[in-house]
Amino acid sequence: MTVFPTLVPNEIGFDMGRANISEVSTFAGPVRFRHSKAVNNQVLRIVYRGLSQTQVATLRQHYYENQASLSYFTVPVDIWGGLTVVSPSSLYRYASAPEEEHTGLYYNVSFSLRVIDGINLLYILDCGDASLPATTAFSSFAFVGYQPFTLNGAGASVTATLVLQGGGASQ
Amino acid sequence: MANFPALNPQSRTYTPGAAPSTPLGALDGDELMVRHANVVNGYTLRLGFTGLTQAQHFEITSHYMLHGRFEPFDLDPITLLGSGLTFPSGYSWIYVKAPDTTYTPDVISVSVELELVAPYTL
Repeated sequence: MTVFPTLVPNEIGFDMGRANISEVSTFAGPVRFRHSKAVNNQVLRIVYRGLSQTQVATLRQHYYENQASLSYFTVPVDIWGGLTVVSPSSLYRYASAPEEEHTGLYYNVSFSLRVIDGINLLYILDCGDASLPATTAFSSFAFVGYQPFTLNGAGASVTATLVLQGGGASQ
Repeated sequence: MANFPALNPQSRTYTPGAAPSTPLGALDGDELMVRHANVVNGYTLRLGFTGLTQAQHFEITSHYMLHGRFEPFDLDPITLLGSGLTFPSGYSWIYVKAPDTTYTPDVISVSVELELVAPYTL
């Protein structure tokens, strides 16, 4: 698996994907059915302007290495410019072939990537018999705080598991 | 269910709803309308936000991820500020489609499209 080149784009655009939902139209409006906790299929558009020949060759080479949309890859967080939309470990595919514009001296390129592993809203906190590590800041879509989140079981021999459901998700 | 983030939009486009009905034409040219439900569908609201901070953008992202087109929600009064709009009691909003973001240096713009749905129980 490869990593998309770390070149900070001039502009990005994206939609926020969709939950795994099917829908039936009725006279009283849409009735929706949810099939999983995933929200994925975000489409990320990346625009570069004024690239050098070396830079555009790097991007082009990455597209060739991934054989167009065949392979998946990761994208550095720098590409998102600090925005939190999908998990940093998400996987991507090329949604379409990149478009290059050759201006004689510099190159303008735009990409369209599809996120195939976006957000999963199911959180399972397994306390088990793990020893308590130092707390660290934790931020996700369902809750914000400090991890590990501790659930006290009834006794030392009891393994306690807590399942949190985000956004109407059910297990 | 959490209200849509309390952000003041830069643009707002509203389309009123209508009752589901079918016209039946008669040979003499009269038209009869048959209403199929006692609800009103098709209220849509398109909101445009420009110049959001990253934190404000995450509020919209987080709200969409947790609600999407599945979980209905209400609007914060600031979203409709100055519009004078009212809606049928008990109705809630869902997303029509995923919000779309454009991020050029220092400027985050988001467009959001919402649809009002009647309450239902399965």
